[in-house]
Amino acid sequence: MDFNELPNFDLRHTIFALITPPGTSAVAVVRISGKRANFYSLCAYIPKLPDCLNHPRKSLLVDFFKNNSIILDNVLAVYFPSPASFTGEDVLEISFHGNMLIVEQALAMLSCIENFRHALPGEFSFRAFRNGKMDLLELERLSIRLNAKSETMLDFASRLNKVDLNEILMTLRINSMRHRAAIEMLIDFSEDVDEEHTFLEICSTWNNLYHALSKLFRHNTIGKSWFIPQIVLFGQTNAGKSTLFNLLLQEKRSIVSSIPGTTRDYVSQTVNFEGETFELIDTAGIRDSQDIIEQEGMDRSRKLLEDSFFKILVMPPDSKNQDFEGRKFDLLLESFSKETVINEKIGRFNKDSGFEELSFVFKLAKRKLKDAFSGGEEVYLAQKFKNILESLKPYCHTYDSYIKNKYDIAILDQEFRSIETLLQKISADYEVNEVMNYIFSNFCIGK
Amino acid sequence: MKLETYDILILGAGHAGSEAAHIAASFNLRVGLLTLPDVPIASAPCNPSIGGVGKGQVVREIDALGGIMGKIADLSGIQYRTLNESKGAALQSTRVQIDKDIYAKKMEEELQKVKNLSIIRAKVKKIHRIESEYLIETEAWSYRTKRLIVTTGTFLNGVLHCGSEVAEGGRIGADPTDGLSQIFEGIQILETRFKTGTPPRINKDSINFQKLEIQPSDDLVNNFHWNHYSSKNDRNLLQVPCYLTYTNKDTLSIVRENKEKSPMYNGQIRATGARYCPSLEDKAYRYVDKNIHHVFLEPEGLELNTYYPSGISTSLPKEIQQKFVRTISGLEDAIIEQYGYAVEYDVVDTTQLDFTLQMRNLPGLYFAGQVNGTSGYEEAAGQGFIAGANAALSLLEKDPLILSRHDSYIGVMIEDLVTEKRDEPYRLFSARCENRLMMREDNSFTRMYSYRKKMELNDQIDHYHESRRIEVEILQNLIDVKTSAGDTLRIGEVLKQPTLDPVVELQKFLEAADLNFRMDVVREVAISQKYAGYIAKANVDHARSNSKTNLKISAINLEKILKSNNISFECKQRISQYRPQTFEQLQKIPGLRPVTVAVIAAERI
Repeated sequence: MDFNELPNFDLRHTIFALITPPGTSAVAVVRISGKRANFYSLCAYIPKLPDCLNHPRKSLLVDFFKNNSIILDNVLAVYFPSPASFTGEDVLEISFHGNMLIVEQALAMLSCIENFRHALPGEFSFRAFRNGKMDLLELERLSIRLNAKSETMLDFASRLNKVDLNEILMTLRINSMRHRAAIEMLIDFSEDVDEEHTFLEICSTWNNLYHALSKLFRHNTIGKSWFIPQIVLFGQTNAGKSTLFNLLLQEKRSIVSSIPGTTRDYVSQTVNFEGETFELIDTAGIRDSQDIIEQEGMDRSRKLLEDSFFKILVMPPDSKNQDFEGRKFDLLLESFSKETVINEKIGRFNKDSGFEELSFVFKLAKRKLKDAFSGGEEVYLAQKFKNILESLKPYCHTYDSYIKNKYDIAILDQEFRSIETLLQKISADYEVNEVMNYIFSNFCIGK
Repeated sequence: MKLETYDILILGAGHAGSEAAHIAASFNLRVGLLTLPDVPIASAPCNPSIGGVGKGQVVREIDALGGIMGKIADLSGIQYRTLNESKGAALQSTRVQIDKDIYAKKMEEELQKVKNLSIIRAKVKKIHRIESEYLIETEAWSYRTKRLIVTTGTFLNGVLHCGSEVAEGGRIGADPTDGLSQIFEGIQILETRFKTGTPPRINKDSINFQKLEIQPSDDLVNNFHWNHYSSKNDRNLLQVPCYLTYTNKDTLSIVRENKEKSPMYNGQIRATGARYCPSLEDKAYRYVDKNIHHVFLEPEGLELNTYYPSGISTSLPKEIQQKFVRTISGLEDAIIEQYGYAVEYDVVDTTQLDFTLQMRNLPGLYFAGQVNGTSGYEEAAGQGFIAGANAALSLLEKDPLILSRHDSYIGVMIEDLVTEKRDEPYRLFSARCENRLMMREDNSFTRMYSYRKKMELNDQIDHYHESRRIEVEILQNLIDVKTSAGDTLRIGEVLKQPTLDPVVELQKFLEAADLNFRMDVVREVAISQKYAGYIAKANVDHARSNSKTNLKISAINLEKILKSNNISFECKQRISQYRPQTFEQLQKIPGLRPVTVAVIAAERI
C-alpha cells in the first residue's frame, strides 16, 4: 500500500475483520476498531459488552448471541481504549472458537450494524499510521514481519534500524532548513548581512544537502519481490528452461516439447529449500515472433526479469557464453551438456541431472540473499523513500546547475521549494519561524 | 459634560489611526480621530523611512486599496532606493527616506481635507461600553461611537528607559497614558510586555561627512502613489543622500564593559524585543566576536538638523552613549541632540481578534498597529486600513474586507496575527509568504483590484483601477502574438529568458512596434511573464493542496468541533484559543495532533 497517496478510507466508519488466518483453528480473533460510543450497538449481540468497555485491557468471557435466545458462541472479549491500541482508536478484540462457520456468521452480523463495515486490506495499519501509532519505517518493518517467508527476512526485519534512518532524515532536514535560511537571508536581510558571504552560505548549505542526498541515492531498497525471492529462468526459446524448471521441482509441471515457444506465459512454483522460500519462475523464451499472445508472454518475461532477485540465463550448448540481450544474470546454465561442472557463475545440466546435482542453484540464491541482508552499515530504504528519492534526483541535478550558474534568487527560491516539498514527504516539515530562529540566532540581523 | 456622537471613533493618530480614519471617512460616515494634544499626527519616532523588503509591498497594497501612506511618503520623500536590486525583478522593494516633519504636516493637511472627519485633541480618561456602543470620556467632552478603533501604539502603560532613568510615557516628550486594562475593562493583554528602542540622534554639523560612504538617491525608482507615477519619476522634494559608516572594536568594547549599566541586561527591562531589530547591546553581547556593524546615517529632514544613525539603538546611560558614538568613524566629534532610549509597553493578545481586527467578545471594538504587537509604520498602516474599512463596512452591513494570504502581504500579516500568539514584535518578512513571486510591488494594483471593488466606493482611484486593468489586459494579449518578421522567438518566450531583463526586452519590443504603454504596466506584464511558469506552479500547488481535503478554505464549525467527543481536551483548548475560521488555519495551529486534524477533516465538522 502506498501511504503517499492516502486511500479513500472513510475514517468515520467502525471497521472489523478477522485477524487470524481463516480455517479451522483453536481460536479466531475478530478486531473491531472505531469509537467507543459506536461499540454500544454491539450490545444487541453481546449484552455484557458494557462490562468489557468498563474494564479496559481485561479479558472477559461473555456470550455472543445470534438472536434473543440463541447463543452463537462464548467468546473472550478485550477492550483497548484509545490511544493505547493497535490503531490508536478504541479497539475491541473478540476471540471466537476457531470454526469458520461461527466466524462467518459473526462477521455477517457485524456488517448489519449501521456504520460498521469490513476493513479493507491494510486499513488497520492505515489507521494506526494516521493516528501516529507508527511511522513509515515501523510500518515497513511490520509489513516485512507479516510477509517474511524466510528466516533471513525475519532476521532482517528486527535489524531494520530505525535510529539509523532517523539520523539520516534529521541530517536532511537540518541541511535543508539551513539552505532555506540562507535563501531567506539573501532576500530579506541583504542589507544586514554581506551579500557575497550570504551567497557562499547558499552554496555551502546546498553542497551539504546535496552530498547527504547523493549518499542516500546509492542505498538499496527492500523490493517487494524480496519477501519471496524470485528465481527466474530466462533465455532464448527452446533453450531448455522448462526442462530445468521441472528438474528443479522434481516434477513435470511445465509442458516440455521441442517446439519453440511452448511456454507462452510464465509458470511459477514456490520451493522451500533449507528454510528459505523461493519462487521459481519459468518464463517465455525471447525470440522474434508475430504471435500476439507469445509477444505478450515475452513482455511479461522481460518485466519479471527486471524485478527478480536471482536470474538464471539458460543457454543451448552450441551458443556462445554471452550476456543475453545485455541483461545481467547471476548464473549461466548451459543446457543438455553431459557434465554439471560448476564455478561461481557458470554451470551445466542435462535432462538426467538429479535434484542433488542441481541444488547448487538454490545454494547460490540463498547465499546472495544472505549477502544482501548482511551488508554491514548499509541502510535499506523502504520503497516509498526510494521512490521519493528517485523523483528528487532530476530536481537536485537541475538545481545544482542553477546554483553554479548563480541564477536569479527568485528562481532558486522556487526551484528549491520543489525539492523541499518532496523532502518533506520523508522527513519532518519545518516552519518559517524555525527558519527565522535559525537566522536570528546565527547571524547578526537588524539595523 | 458635553456629548458628541460618531459612527466611528479612532483612538490614536499614528500610522494605523490615520489610515483607519481616512478610509473609514470615505464611506460617508461620521468619523472622529482622537489623539493626544502634544503628539504630532503620524510621527516617525524611530527611523525616518517608509518601505523596505516586504514593507514596500504593503505600502503599494495600501495605495492600490485607496489608502494614503504612499501618497504622504512621496510628498515627504527625500531619498528613494530599490532594495534587492541585483536579485531579479520579482523580489525588489522600494524604500523612501522621509522628512519626518513634512510627513506629519502633510498627513495632518490630508486628513483635514477629508469630509466627515474631525480631529480631536484630548486625553482619554475612561471608556465604557453602553449596550452595543462605546462612550469615551475625556477632560471636557464625552464621545459616543458605534465603532471604536484603538491604535494607541506604545502608549499603553508605556515606560521609557535611558540608563537608570525611568519615565512613564509612550515616547520622549509625550504624556503617559494609563494601561488599557485601567481605562477599559475586559481586554486580554499578553503577559509579556514588548520592548522597542531607538538610537541617539546626531547633530548634522558635528558629523564629518568626508569620512563616510555616500548612498545617493536612485532616480529610477517609481514613486509610491499611483497619481505620482511618471516616466521621469519626478520627486516632490530635494533628494539627499544617506551615509554609511561602521562600528569598530572600540565601540563594542565600551558597550561590553558597561553591560551592568544596560537596562536590557541588568534586569531593569523585562520585556521582549525583536531579534531582527537588535540594540547595539544585543549585538555586543550576543555576537561577541563581531565588532564591525553597519551604521546608516539617515537625514531626519531637510530642515531638521539631526541624523538618525540606524544600527545603534541603545538604552545605555547618556554618558556611555556619548562615549561609544564618538569611537565611530566620522562621528568623532558628534554631538547628541536626543539620547537613545528603550520603551516597554502593553500588547493586546491578537488571537482574541477576528480577521477584521475586531475583538471577538466585544463587537464594535477594533485594534490595529503597534498595540497589536507589530513593529513598523507600514504594518501599522496596513492594519489601520483593514480595521477602518471593516468598521465602516460592518456599520453599513456589508461583507467584510478580508485579504487572502495568497495574494497580499497584508493578508499574510493579519492571518499571522489572529492565529498565532506573539512572543516578540511582529515584522513582515517576504519569507512569511508562500507565494512571493506573485506578491510583488509592480502588480499591486492587479492584486488589489477585486478588494478595492468590493468596497463599492466610487473615487478617482476606482477609475484608475479600471483603465489600468484594461491596459494590462491588452498588453498581456499582445505578448502572445508573434514578433515582427524574421523573429522566430515569440516575445512571450523572449521575456522568459533567464539571463535577460524582461522589462528592457518588452520596452524594446514595444518601441520597435511603435506602441506606447504606461511604464508601470509594461513593468508588471514583463515581470509576470518572466516568472509565469513559477507563479502558475505555485498556484497549482496551492490549488492541489486545497483539493486534497476539499475543505482547506471552507469554513469549519467551531462549536461542533468543541463539542466533539473524538477530540482531546488539550486540542480543544488549543483550538478555542486560536479560533480558526477555515480548515487551513486550523491546520496551522501549533501542537495540534495530526489525528485531530484528520478527524475534523473526516467528520466534515
